[in-house]
Amino acid sequence: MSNGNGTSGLSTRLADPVFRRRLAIRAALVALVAGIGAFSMVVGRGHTVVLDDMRPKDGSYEPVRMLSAKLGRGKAVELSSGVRELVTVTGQSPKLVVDWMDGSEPVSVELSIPFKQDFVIVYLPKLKAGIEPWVEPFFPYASAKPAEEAAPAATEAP
Amino acid sequence: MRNGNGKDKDGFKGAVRSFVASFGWPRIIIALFIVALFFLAPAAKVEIPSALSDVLNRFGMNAVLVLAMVPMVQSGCGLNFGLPIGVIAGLLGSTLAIQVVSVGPLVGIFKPGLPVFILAIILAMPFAALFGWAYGKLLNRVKGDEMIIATYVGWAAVSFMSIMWLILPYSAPTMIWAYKGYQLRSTIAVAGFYDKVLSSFLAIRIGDFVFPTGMILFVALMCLVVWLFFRTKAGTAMTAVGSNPDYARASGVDASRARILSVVASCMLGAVGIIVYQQSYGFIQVYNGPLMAAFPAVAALLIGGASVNKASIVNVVVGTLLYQGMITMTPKVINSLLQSDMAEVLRIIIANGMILYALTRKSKVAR
Amino acid sequence: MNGLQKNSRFLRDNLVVFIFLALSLAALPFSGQAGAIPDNLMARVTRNAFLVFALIIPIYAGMGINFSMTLGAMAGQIGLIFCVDWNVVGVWGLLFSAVIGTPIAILFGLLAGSVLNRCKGREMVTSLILGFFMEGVYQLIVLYMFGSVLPLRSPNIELSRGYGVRNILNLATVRGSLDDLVAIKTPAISLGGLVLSPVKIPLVTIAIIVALAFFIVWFKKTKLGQDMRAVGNDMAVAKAAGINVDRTRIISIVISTVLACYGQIIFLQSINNMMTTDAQSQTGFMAAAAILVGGATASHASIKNVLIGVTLLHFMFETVPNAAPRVFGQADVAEYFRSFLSFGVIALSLVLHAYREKKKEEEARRANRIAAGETAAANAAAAAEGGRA
Repeated sequence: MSNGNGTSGLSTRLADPVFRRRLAIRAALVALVAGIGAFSMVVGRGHTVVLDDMRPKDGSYEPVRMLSAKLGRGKAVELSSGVRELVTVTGQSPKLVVDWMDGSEPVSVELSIPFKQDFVIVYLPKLKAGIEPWVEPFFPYASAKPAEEAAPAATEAP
Repeated sequence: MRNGNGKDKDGFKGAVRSFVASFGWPRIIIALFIVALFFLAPAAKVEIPSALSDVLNRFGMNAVLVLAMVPMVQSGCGLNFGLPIGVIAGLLGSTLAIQVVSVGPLVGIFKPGLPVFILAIILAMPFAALFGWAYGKLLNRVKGDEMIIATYVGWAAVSFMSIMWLILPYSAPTMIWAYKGYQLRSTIAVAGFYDKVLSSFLAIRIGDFVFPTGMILFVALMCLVVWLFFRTKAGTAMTAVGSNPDYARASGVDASRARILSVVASCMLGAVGIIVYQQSYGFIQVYNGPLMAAFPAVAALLIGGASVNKASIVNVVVGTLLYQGMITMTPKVINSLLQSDMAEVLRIIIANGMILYALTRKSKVAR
Repeated sequence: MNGLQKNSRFLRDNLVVFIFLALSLAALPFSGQAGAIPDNLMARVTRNAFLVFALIIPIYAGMGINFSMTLGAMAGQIGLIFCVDWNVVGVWGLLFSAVIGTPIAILFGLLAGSVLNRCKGREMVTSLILGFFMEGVYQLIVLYMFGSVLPLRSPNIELSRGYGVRNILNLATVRGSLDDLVAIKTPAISLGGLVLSPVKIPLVTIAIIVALAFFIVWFKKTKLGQDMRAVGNDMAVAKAAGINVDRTRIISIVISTVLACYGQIIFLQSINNMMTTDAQSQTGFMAAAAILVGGATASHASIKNVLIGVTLLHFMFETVPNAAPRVFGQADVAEYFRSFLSFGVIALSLVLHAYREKKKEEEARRANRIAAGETAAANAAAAAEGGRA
């Protein structure tokens, strides 16, 4: 099996069943590895949730006096009014269980964190009062904020 | 004589082509690179006179260490990655010199300056000869894997000596930690002993430009010594063993002896080389100082046109100039032009790349 | 071969192992904190064993000690940088790093393999220099390309100048994720006056190492494995038998580099912080020392060598650096003793190997000459016979 000028080009090689099988196996392997990578990335993506129980600047709601919150499989964290706590979670949909510690029913919600977002903040008082939105993206470093583009990485003066 | 394409094979184009082929593209690129750096220098606010002085100074400092490579390459032992062994001999000589001149038996006999410098060299020679002889005997039994074995024997020697530096009873006050009272410092100043004895000898000063005449003269002297050596019977025997072992054997040359001699010569030159380096740099560096000493010297030799089995004094001079020129000029110019410090990374890549290039070339008899 | 000859041959072949064992045992009584040794040793062995396995295949294929396995380590580190940057945590982070590192390691392996094919006979020193060369390239990537050409998301791992990765990369997000996955802890045991602290046994890590050992055993039986052995024994004969020598050698280096990539990830997950530009500098040389301490040579290495070697080398690291200061009276001696023993074992092993190879060559030449002489004599006799008849 040869083409005009006697060299084995891609078309000739593709006609060879052994080559085709090898190519298929290798493509499958690459796809498998890429799949594992993508899967790990999605499942293992860690996020940090800021649990907020503070009085807002405009005073539109009251902080909760005392509460206990549990995210995903982590330990329960206690917050009192005026504090924030950082909790790390794995995955994009951790379950948030809050016990308001005032006799009312504990609330259980599923947070959905955008994949690309490293930090989100959950305003627990808003959640209790039913004010939307009670969860939003959080930017601990000013330079990471997409809305207001920080100045491009400045080269230092000599 | 023209071929079918009408290209003039002889004459200028042919000469250029054969020059390029034997000189090698990497060296041409490096040379052009350095020239370009000099042209860019004013734009980078680099003062040319002082830059030139730096290059010449570093050339003088390193040339003898590069020269130390030549005997072993010529005798077929390959590139001397075990240069640290020769350097250690030099360190022993210089530290002993300072010790005996400050505290030991020779107090007051040797005035600071050139006499101490010469004393350091003299004291280093027996060590260099001994180490070289042992190292040479070792290399003779391992024909083939010399270079990697040399590297690790050299490194093991440096570590072993580091233990020794800690234990040996040095007591000169300038050499030990003052508050401890007993341990050898890692850097020992040669100021007051032989600091800059060569570099400042007959130095020519024109504004910012300083020509370290003494040091360059000494380097020239060492080159002359090596050149003369290779014209002696022992020297020609050495070259024969390296380039044509069968002919050498047929002529009755004892190959093992010639190789051991080349290793001893290499160690001695290495010892002298580090002492020359010290007088310019200002410090003796013990402990892990000699660890990486071989690599810049190997790179410089190869940049100068040598190969794994052939090296000449021209290679040494050209190579040291190009290599030191490159590592002096690149940081100055690139750092201020690109506002970055990529120079160190570039040095690693270029120097090691050069060694790789030489190691992966088929053994050819190069100039 | 009588008993005495057999014993002396055994001693000579395993000289390096015995020297190291004797040295470490001699240092043991002086080393203090002997109770912590089993736990520390377990941690060190499980941390390093995978990396040492990466050296077996190139030795098998006749390439000597592959000092350029460092390139694989660098690939793994690049993977980890991406992992920390994207904040992929735990074991998933390690998997992610491995996935990112694999194509990079393959690329580096192909590069290293082709370079090494151009310097047959000097592979070891070339692989050493290649390692240094690629460290420069790696620094270029990590200090200059990340953040500028390659996107870096998290500002907290970026250098303050706006591009490049920080000097120290905090691996807290993946620390211990493999080791702690399934681990058991033995209780503290009291032996006479000595209390051995509890030993943490990281089962998953050990399982992976065992799996690798099985992989290597299986690999040696495949056609590719046999080809490598043939190439390792005699390149000319292998070529005559129709094996593509160059391609086989390159594949052995690629495998080694990829294994080094995974090995480095396993190594780093048991360490808190990664020195971004330096973490790989000791890798090749530590692995080489380990395998050589275990009795391997530049042309022969087995799984036994790996396991004995890594245990013995790290046992030495546990005892000698603690003992040396007491014997010599100075604390700084410890560090240099470690370096000296590590460099020394590689030097000694390479020297012994080269010496033996040279002797073998000389004997073969002598045997050839004798055989040739005998054949010549036989021919002469036959010719004389034939002439007379």
